[in-house]
Amino acid sequence: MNMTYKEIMPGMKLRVIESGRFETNCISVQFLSRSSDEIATSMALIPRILRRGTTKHPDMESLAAALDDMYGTRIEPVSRKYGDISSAGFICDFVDMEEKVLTGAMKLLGEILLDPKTRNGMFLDEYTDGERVNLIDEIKSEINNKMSYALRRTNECIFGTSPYAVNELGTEDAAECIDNKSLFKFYKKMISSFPCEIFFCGNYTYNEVERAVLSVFKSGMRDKVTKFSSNPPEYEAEKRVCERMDIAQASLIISMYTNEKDIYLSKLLASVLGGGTSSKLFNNVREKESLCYSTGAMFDSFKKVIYMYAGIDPKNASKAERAILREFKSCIDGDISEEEITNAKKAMIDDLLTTEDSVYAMEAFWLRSSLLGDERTPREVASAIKNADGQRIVEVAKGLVPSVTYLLTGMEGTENERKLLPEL
Amino acid sequence: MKENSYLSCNQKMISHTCGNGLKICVFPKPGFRRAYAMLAVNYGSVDITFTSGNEEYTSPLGVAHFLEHKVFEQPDGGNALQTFAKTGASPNAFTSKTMTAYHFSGTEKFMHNLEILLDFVTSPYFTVENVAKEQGIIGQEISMVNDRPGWKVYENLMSSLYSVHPAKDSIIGTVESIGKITRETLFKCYNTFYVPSNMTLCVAGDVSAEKIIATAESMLSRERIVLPARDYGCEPAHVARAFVEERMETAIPLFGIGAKCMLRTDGEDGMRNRLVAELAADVLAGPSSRLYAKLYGNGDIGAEFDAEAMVLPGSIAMMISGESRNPQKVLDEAVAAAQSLATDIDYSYFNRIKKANLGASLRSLDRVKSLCHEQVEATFAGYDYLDTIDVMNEISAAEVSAFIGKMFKEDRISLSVVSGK
Repeated sequence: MNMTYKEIMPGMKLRVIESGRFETNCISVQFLSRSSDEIATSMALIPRILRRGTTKHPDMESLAAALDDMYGTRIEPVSRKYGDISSAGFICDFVDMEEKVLTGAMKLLGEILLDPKTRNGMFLDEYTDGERVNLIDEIKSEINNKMSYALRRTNECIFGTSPYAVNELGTEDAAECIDNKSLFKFYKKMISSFPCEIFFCGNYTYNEVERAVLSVFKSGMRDKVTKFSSNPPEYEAEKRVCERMDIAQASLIISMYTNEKDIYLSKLLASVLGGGTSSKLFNNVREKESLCYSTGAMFDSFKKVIYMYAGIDPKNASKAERAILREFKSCIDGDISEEEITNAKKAMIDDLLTTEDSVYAMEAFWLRSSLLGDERTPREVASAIKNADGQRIVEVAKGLVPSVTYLLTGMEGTENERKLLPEL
Repeated sequence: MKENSYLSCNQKMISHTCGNGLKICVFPKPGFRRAYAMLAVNYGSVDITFTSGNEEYTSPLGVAHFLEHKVFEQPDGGNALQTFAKTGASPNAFTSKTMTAYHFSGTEKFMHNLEILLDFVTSPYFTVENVAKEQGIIGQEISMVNDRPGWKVYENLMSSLYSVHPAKDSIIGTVESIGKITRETLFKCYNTFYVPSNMTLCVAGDVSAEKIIATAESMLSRERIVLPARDYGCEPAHVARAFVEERMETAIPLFGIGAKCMLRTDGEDGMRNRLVAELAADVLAGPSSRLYAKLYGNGDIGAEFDAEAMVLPGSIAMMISGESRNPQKVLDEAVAAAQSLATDIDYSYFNRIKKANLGASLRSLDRVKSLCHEQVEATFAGYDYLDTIDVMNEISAAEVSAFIGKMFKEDRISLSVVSGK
């Protein structure tokens, strides 16, 4: 696999991985900005509105017909969040059968991005209003997955009003308030001046891809690029939060933050603690104590927060918290065997190396790497992990600062009892 | 061992049936870092009543899933999950209505990991204590899924579509049913179904098929065991209930529209029926269907919308699911669209959906896990997954139209809704 990474226009970078191993080709175009409630919400809304129709294909049915005709090419809106940065755009994937599809797929992607269906110099009101309702519904529906909802609430408690607290869909309030005129202005600014990462992986050469991209993004389109940098995260004071819902299973999340610069050491700690079936949490909290089905730990490289979690019977909340903290304390005490470290390293290395087996995994890896300013390939990162001094994770564990302990639990007890927070 | 090539794609498949009846399929993936292996048992949550020898047996609900949890535990007190961890491989397992599958992926020591897989699945260790421990863990898994509105919509829809077929019951069982599972229950079901002639090993990666076959031949029992007769009851053509609603913690109502028909799902006829059903789901309500564009454009549904065909022994169910403030309107629109398609499908519309479907089939070849899953399902039904790409090409608009007409009869449709409290 050959990789080329170049700035092809002001603030617009193109990364091409040439690989003949896949049936699937993937193009991703992502615009980036420092986030806020309004920015995250606008960046979630815009790709969804753009996907409704273009001047040439003014509605979803005509777009669907054009995509189907290219062997079911997909062009899907995405909005993501990395720390205090919002990213929004499209991921397009396609296969070549009797005919090559790159030029047609890029042309249609360009049409969706740059030539939306408009009226009076704005998005169609009906498209904006429809997507506003859909976005608000999507935000509200996060409640359907209780652990994801608990994680979102934990982050809101950790980061308060900072951009780090906003999730990738933005907020209901911001979605209600954004008007079509200002949204269109924001869209124009996004296209002309936000930093943009374009990614391609598949059966084409760099030159072929660059040609296709430059046939869509014409010179002069990108003039005043808005430079931004990520601010370091700031954390609210340590606190315990309990919220209730009519549910059978409680979700417990214990969060802590770190100042450790090497994110892979923190990831290694999370892996030893709760990275999978060989981890301390899985083997002790689940298998030995039979307290839960789902438990683990994960590290967010941008927020610098480690989350330890478990889905539990509400009556076992205190017991589960003690059991999780006991495993965490064993890390601080250095009660980590070489085998645990080796297993955790192997799992991380395996994950990294398999990145190269999926065009989508590579897209996600390289966007994150660009934002982290880390140009190492998955193999290079894997090699660094292999050679890292694993016992240093004890220092990382000792340096963790307790942040929010969050419990989403059921409506057990009387009304008066429910007003009291359970003693975790 | 035979090597199969296919007209519509570059992917090859090497297949072999061992003397003990185990089927092995290998998809060579030159240059892939990861190799993936799945050892699947043709035993799912629907296999509750069966006759082995002269004895008819009905197990509690949820045994297939319970076994999936327990099979990892080893006679030496260890757990296969930890054995895999030493090589960095990622092991896991799942149970569906129709199969139980154990799988791993990894970038090194593939043959060693394959030996671990073959060994642990064929070395059961069930004790009174470890069965009791698992009841606690699975009890929490049941609570977790029962808090998920999407899961409840699906489970309620299945119990509305079917009144006799065990597809009506939850894959995972209930707290009460798993409480009845004992060590003896597990051994009874394990010894009946976990035999090579009822299993398929499927591998995708840059691997040697010869070595895989030799290893499986040497590690597994050589005995070819007679399989049990399974009884799924006599399901009537009509649904059990036309409508079911449950209230839960959710913001926007979730719905599942289901339609069923009883027909062959094995052999070449079964393959064709399945492909017609999949194409019918896409033509009626797939992501590029007219129905989807209309409902989405009118604000009747959100982005979460899906149409799929689910294949069961002797039956196919079509499910359309999503979120809507007015599920009844979505049902009415879906039935109207089905009636129209049953009368007439315009050819250019049909052909573009078929073209997209072919593209999706080719994309699926890059996803080794789903590729192996599809092949295992196909093997259990008696065909090759990669043949489906060519057969899909042959399916006519008239076949799809007739299928939709047969399926969307008034008494064969159910609507399941989960709305907020």
